[in-house]
This record gives sequence, structure tokens and C-alpha cells, in this order.
Amino acid sequence: MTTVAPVRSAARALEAHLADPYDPALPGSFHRALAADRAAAFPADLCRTVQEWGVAELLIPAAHGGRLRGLEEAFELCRVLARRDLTAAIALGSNLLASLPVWLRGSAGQRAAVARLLRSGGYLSFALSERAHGADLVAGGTTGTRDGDTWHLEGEKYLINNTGHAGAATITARTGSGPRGLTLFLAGLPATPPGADAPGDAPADSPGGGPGWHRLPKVATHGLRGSELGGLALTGLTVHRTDAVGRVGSGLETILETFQLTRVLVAGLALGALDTCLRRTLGFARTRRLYDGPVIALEPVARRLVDAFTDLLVGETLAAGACRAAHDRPGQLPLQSLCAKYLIPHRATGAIESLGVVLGARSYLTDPQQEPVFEKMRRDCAVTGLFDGATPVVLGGLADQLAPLAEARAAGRPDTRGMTALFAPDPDGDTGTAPLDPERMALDTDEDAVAAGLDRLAAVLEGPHPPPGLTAARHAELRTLTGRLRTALAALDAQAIALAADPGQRRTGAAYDLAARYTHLHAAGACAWRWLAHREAAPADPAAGPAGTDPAAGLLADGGWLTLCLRRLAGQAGILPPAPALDGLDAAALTTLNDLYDRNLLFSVTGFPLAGRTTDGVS
Amino acid sequence: MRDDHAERFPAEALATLDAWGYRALQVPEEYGGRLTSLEELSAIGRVVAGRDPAVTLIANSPLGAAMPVWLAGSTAQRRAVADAVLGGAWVALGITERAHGADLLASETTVRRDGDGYLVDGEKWLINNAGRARYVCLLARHPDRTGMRSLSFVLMDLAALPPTAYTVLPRITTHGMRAAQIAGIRFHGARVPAGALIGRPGSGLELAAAALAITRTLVPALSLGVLETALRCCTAFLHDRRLYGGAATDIPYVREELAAALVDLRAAEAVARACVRAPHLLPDLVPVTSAVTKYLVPRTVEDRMRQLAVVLGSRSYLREGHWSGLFEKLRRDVTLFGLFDGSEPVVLSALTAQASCLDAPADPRRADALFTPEAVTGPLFGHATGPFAEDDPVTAGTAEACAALARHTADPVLTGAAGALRAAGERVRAEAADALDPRSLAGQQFADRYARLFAATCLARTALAAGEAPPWLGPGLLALLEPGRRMPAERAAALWNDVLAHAATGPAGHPGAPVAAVRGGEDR
Repeated sequence: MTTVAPVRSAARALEAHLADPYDPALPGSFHRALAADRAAAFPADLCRTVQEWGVAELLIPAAHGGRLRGLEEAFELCRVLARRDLTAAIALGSNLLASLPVWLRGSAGQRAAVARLLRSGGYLSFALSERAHGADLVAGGTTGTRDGDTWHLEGEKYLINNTGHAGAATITARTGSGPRGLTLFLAGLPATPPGADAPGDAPADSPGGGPGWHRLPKVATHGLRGSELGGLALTGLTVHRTDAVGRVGSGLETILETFQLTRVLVAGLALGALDTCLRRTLGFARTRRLYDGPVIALEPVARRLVDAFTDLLVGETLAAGACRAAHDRPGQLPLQSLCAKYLIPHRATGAIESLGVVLGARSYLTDPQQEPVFEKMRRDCAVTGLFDGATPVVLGGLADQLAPLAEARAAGRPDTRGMTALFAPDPDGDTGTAPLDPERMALDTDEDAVAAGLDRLAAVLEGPHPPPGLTAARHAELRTLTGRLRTALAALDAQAIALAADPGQRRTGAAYDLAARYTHLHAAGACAWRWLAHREAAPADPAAGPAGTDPAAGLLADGGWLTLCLRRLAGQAGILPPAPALDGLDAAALTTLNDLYDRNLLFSVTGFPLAGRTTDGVS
Repeated sequence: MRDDHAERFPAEALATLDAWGYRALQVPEEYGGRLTSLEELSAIGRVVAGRDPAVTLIANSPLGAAMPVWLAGSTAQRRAVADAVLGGAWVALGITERAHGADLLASETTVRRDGDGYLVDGEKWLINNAGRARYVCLLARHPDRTGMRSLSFVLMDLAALPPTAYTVLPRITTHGMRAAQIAGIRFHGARVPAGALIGRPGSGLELAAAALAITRTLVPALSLGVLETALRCCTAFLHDRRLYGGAATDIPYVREELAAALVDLRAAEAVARACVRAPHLLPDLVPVTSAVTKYLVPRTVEDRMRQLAVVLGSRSYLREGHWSGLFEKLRRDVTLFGLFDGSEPVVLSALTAQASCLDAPADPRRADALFTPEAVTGPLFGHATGPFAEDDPVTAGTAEACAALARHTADPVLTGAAGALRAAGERVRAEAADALDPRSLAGQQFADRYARLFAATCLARTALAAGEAPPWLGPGLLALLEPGRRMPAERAAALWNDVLAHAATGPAGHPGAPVAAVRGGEDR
């Protein structure tokens, strides 16, 4: 029996509760997710099942009466739910997105109201974006006008999830000028009773509303077709003075704090989708025969499978560190969440495209009788790059930080206390559970303690005693890889400083490319920390470790995991050319991947067990 | 858009094309149609693809599906198919099987001798137009044969078969091209006359290769039509979009991305054009040109569509709104062009298998005609295309082209690109000497480099033949050789007016497309 760390126990319980995803009779099955998607219907059965299981308690922080102890718990829940259906995961995730401002900055009364709504199985919307402005938050046209003890909200919010059925929304409105002119309001959106006439000012096609507001029609989308995605028309919605979340004028700050947290959760959605796509493709490659052998025996196919697996391993490492930092090193979170938000959805989407080449024509089919899970996941996962700051926004934000980070790195060693705990494969009970404290959160990261993992790794590898568990060849390769990554980071720092000196370079492709490359080097630092943490925690002899129960343990212990991740990141950052052939490490990774598949574990180093197969259907 | 959302056969759009005379372009002139030039056909197909890729897929299917007949059929077969197509019939190509995909030799569908005719049994899968087609060009195995000569194409005339002889399987729905009717078809002891075999018995595998070489040559233009419209759609949206106190197109990154899309379009169209002329002018090189263009053009377009989706942001995800959500549809549809008639690994393997042509000395002058500006017509399918190219007169001219480009010293991007092209040529030639397994990783990587070298050489020689060195030429060569590398920001800025000009032209506005008649109201 595999054990999982406490931080993953909620996700494990949910996964077990939802049971076999291949059983069409169950609400958490691929079959039902596809049927809902095809009908553009909300996956109500699955969401109700998850709510009845008790997910509301995990959307409410323990400090406010719920059971959520850390962001990582929410991340793992996102991941296991997303592997079945992103539409459901995102609907429930949007509840957390909309309530986080209240958990961070709200009043006791607001917290009680949100908790009540969540516990009653309700939905919330995070009503920020607008049709004409999108990424430009400060340009929002929705206004809040003060009138004694009340505010009147006017404007339109567009492309907002859950608006079709939300019972409340956190609405951003302009209450003054400039960046300090935005305020968040928590507004109830009572459902129109069935059979009641539409409110007076709502158009005939509105799905409902109330005095001073109505819901906009559902928006048809590429993926997430069953989502209750739409918008809100505010035509004078009246809220009370006490409905402002935090101080009047503090909206932008609260939004940026919220995004730091949710951008990491979005990565969990992408990783869940990639897990399912990889599982499906691997299953296909193992059984399908081409040219007198299984497809998996074709070298380019094995390459794609190992690469997708490695992308998952890198992604979960980067994300776990960011989740824990939110609690223990909040000053690192602004940078980590930007890196995770760019790199993980970007690589997951790319990996899914690559796996689509293996599936060939099957990747293109939506027919319920054929191979439709992959096609739906691919469409759904494409949204993760857009959420909570699309790629240009994220890379632009990151590009602006590169020069200060480079200068900090040049000035001296960053504070790396506690970094190994942030990245340990299995965190102890105290890591990442301190209450979220908005007063400790920052808007920018001063120094990159994550990338500093490469320095620590170099020191260990160059030390007088070669690390136990590594063969000489592996040790040599790791030294070379680490050296090249550090050299690349130094070169990037120089470029960032040069670029920052030229104001004409802001928002150029060159600046965004530099930021994108940085996320890979940052992720390499995260991988270094994880491996160092593993070494501290586990016996170095692979045979003595828990290799018998966890297929990934051997790969972690002998440095294979680290080499695989660093090779991949170096390749993606343009530091290493693609290898012309598979080698022993690739073969070992493929063995681990197959082993995880056979034992029905998540493609991860966490030994996370998936619900048992009780049926043998393909989808 | 409505046919797409409803997964409905685009009857109205096809009727419009028929009325214009598109159907006649599906039949060679000598059999009563109007097809004289693949180059012309692809230019027209591109325009239709820019409006609706699903319609162009279906509208071009009679020619593509009947290719075995045009290449190797008897006069009677050609005449029968020509008359049926001109009369409004559809044709389907039955090659793929559910369990075997690209592995044609593993086909389980059989054609057995039975008295003076044949009996056909078995099932084909993912057949476009199944259920609508009168004729199916079916690849089947002779059970008494093994190996490379065990397959034949059979021309199945469904109108001549009793309804019990075949079953059209339920329709299969797809990611994009949702208006297309794709299904399987199963034959149960279907009896056909001896004259139903296409070409020599046992010639099926080579005929499949020859037929696919032609369709692989035609598909890339359809991808280009999609990119053309997508770029126009993105430019229009971003031009009107206000962000951070200005137009979104004031952001340098946005301009760079749109300019890079234009460069990709120009570069890829030069490659597609040279390659679509090859069946007319240099048929012995078709095994190379067909693989290069089918690999590189759809891939370049797909990658660029993904980049454009990033620039477009959440609008790329909507199935409504700006231009009725057209971008989203194009993005789904265009993915098929890379997959069908030979997916990426299949065409890369096919190209690796041609590597030995690089060892033979070749006269670059033999390829000059591929790159001249004059349109090409002439016998379509008169020359036999062998399975292997003997030499490669296109890349035999790489060094010479580089030397000519390097003289443009006022354009440092171009001289840099010329240097990169020369280096790529030397590397690929050196690597071609190793006998690589086409299905190995190294084999596929080699094919990628060879395709890029070949494509960039096509672009360079096209520009030299026209005596032009436009500002996008250097970036275009680099985009083909080193995808993902960003052009200098100043060059992107210099191309901005070209982007705007592209956005301002109508769908039929590019040169070489004599198709004003298909102009019509776009569903915006």
C-alpha cells in the first residue's frame, strides 16, 4: 500500500471517492465528461458529487473555519480533478479564485457569507475582466459610485466563469483614479426563482438577474464547452459599504496577491490534463502495432513519451515549491508564480501537441466510440495558458523583474534558508501550512532563491566527496549540465541588464524571450533543490530506499531524475542540442513511466495512487 | 461557421463552388475537365481554404481520391470517373485501416480472384466522403501474395454493387473539419469485374506512394490559405484593440509576432509553389519535393497559428464574437492538414529514405524552371514518378545561391541568412553519407534538417530568379532554417506596413489566383 504525504491525503481521498474514471456509470468518468462537453452542458453531476464529498471545506482555509491547510492541498485537488474533467475542476477552482480576496482581505462577515455559500453547494464568480480591456486591469470601465452607505456598480464584466449559476461574485470596480482607484466588492447574485419573470432591465436572452444586474448569455468556447462562462451586466447594482473587500482603493493589490496564488493552481490543471493525455498515449503506444512491433518501440515515439513525462516531473517540482513558498517564503512567490504560470501550461500544451503526433489521426477524433478523451483534454488544456494573466502578460511582468534579479544575484548569495523543505518530494507536516498572511506577501521578488539551487547543487557536485549513489558518468554529466546552466544564467543576467538600459526594449519579443528562457533556468534551480532535499531525506543507496513501493524512487536516488529534468530544461532553453539517440537514462525513464502506468500511480515522484480500474473500457 | 458548429455537410458552399466551375478543376482536361496545372489548382484551393478549410477539403476530394485512377487507371476507368465527377459524384480513397494506420502492408482488406472478376472483403476507416461517394479507390491485399507486391487498388463503383455488398459505418466526428463526413466502409464479398483493378496487379503500394506524393504536394497550399486569413483576422482585431493607453499593435512584441507570421507565410508559399511545380517540371524529384512541402508547410502554419493564438489571447478561444470566432475554427481545421495523407513521422521517414540522392552529382540548372515566375501548365500525369529521386538539382544549387545572396551587403540579415544556409547545406551533405534508419530518431532529425535546407534553397532560388531581395527574404530563410528564432526588432518594424497591406487585401487579393468569382460575403 502506498502512503502519501498529509498534504496529498485530501486529493487521494477525492480520487478514491470518484473511483474508476473508465466506468461510464460514474459521474467522475471520462465518458460523462465527454457527454457533457459534447452537449455543452455543465458537468453538474460530477460537481455535485465533489461538493457532497466535502470540497467546500477545502476551499475554506483552516484559519477561517474550513480544512484547507495549504495551497499545495488545493493544487493536488486541482490536479486529480482536472485529470478527469477540466470543466469541473475549473468551475470549482473559480470558486477559490473568487473567494481568495475574501480569505486574504475580507471581513469576518464576508468570510462567513462566502463559507455559507460554498457549503451550500453554491458557485462564485471572479468578475474582473471586461470586453474591451482584457489584460489592462487599470483600464477597466466598470464604476462604483458612492451614495451614503451604499455603492452603485455599473459596467459589464465579460468572459467570467460561473456567471451562469453564481450566487455571489467578487467584482472589481473603479472607485477612484490610477492604480489605487480599484475596489473589490463582494456582491450576492440571488438566483431568479424558476418560472419568475426576468428582471425588468434584463434582455430576453439573459439567463437571469436581479435589480441592477443580469447575467450575460453563455459564451461558446474552444474547450471547456460545458462551463457556465459568460458575464455580468451591472446596471446599477447596489452593494453596501461593508461589501467592499479590504480597503477602498486596495483592489489592484488584492487582485495581484490572489493571482500569485491562483497562477500556481492553474499549473495543477495543466498537469492533470497532461497526465491523462500521457496515460492515454502510452496505453496506445504499448498496444498498437506498427511495422511488426509495438509503437512504443519506435525511437521517436519513446522520445516524445519520455519528454512529456519529464515535463510533468519538472512541472510538479516547480509548482510544489511555489505552493509551499506562499506560506513559508511569501517573498519568493511573485517570481515563482510567474514562472509556474508561464512554464507549466506552456510545456503541458506543447507536450500534448507532441503526444498528438503519436496518436496520429486518433488525436483528431471526437467520436465517443473512438479516442475522444485526448481531443477534449487538448482543447480544455489550451485555456490554462490564458487564465489569470495570459502569456504576454506573464512574460511582460517577468521581463520587468529580470534586471533587478540579475543585480541581486551579482550582489551576493540570496537567503536560501528552508529552500530544501520547500522542494522536498514529501514535505513534513509543518511545511507549507502556516496561515496565508497578506501582510507578508510581496508584489515583487527581490532575489531568486530558487535559481540559487543551481549554485548549491554545483557546490555539492564539486565537493571533495562525490555524492553517494551517483555513478562516475552520471556525476560527470550532472557537473557539466549544472555548469552550463549556471553559465547560461550568468549570460542571461548580462543580457537582462543590457536590455533594461534601453527603454525601447520594453515589451519587445526579445524581452519576452529572455523572460521565457529565465523560467527554464529558474525551474532547473527548483529541480536542484528537490534532488538535494531528497538526498537529505532518503538513504543514498537505492536498494535500501522505498524503491520497492515507489517506482520513481530509484530514479531519484541515482541522480537519473535530476539529469533527466536538467537535460530537458537545458534543451528547451537552447543550451543543449537534441540528442540523436535514446540512451540508458531515457530507457530507465521509460521503464519508470511504464511502471507507474502498470501500478496505476500518478506520473509523478509522489507515489500518488489513482483509483483502481473496475472496468476495461478505453474511455 | 454554422455548418461547423452543426457538424453539417456544407452543401450550400459546395453548390456555390460547383456553380462557379470548381468541379471541372477536379478532372484533367483530356477527360473533359479544366485541370491543366496543379499550380493553378492549388492557388485556387488556397483561396477557398482561406474561407473554409472544410469546404476546400471536400471540394478537392474528387481529384485527390481518384489519384490512383489518374495515375494508372485504364482509359475506361478514367472516363467513367471523369464523367461521374463532372456529373456531381463524389469519390473516396480507402487506404487506412483502423488497426494499421500508416502501415499499409499490414492491410487486412482483401481482393480475391473469383472466376472472371474479384471478391472484395474488409473494412477501411476514416474515409472522407464515405456515404456520399459513388467511387471508392480501395487499397486491398491479394491473399495469395506477400511483400511489396501484395497490394492492388480496386476501383469500387458502389452504384454497381448490390446494397448488401457493403456497409457504410457510422459517421466519425472530428476536432476540426466538423462539416466533413468521415466514416468507415466495410465490404462483404463485394463482386467486381476484372477491369476494376487499377494498374497492374500488385502495384498498389507504389501506386499509393505515387498518389500520395501528388496529394501531399497539393495540401500545403490549403494550410497557407488558412494562415493568410488567420493573420488578417488577428491584425484586424489587434489593430482595434486598446491596451495600456494605445492600440495593441503599438506594442513592439505584437508587431513582431504579426510580422513573423507574414514572413512565415511568404517563405512557406515559395516552398509550396516550387514543390507544386515539380510534378510538371521535375517529376523524378517528386519523392523529395512532396515530403518537404507536406512536412514543412503545414507544420510552419500550425506553429504560427499557435503563436498567433498567444498574441490574440482569449479571443483565440472563443467560438463567437470577432469574425464570428473564425480563428478558433481555423485553428481546429488546420491541424488536419498535417495529419492526413502522411503524418509528420511518415513524411520524415519518406524523406530520410531519399537521402542517397544527395550523394549523386546534380546539375542545378535542371531545377531552374521550378523557380521562374511564369505559371506552369503541361501534361499532369504523363511522367512516371519513380519511388526514389536519383539526384537533387535543387540543393545542388545551394552554394551558388548563397554566393549570390551574400552580395546583398546592404542587408545584414540576408547575408547572415546566406551564411546559415551555406552551413546547413554542408552539414546535410555530410550527414547524408551515413545510412540512417528512416524510423530512428537520428533519421527523423536528419529529415527535418534536409527539409529545411531544401525549403530555404527553394526560397533563395525563387528570389534570385525573380531578381528580388525583399526585406522579408533574410528573415524568411532563417525562419525555415531555424524555426523559433526571432528576427531583429528593426526588421520586424520595417515589415509593419507589409502586414497592414496584407490585412487590407481581400481573400482573393494575392497574385496568381484568378478567382474573383468565389468572392462573397464573409460570415463576420
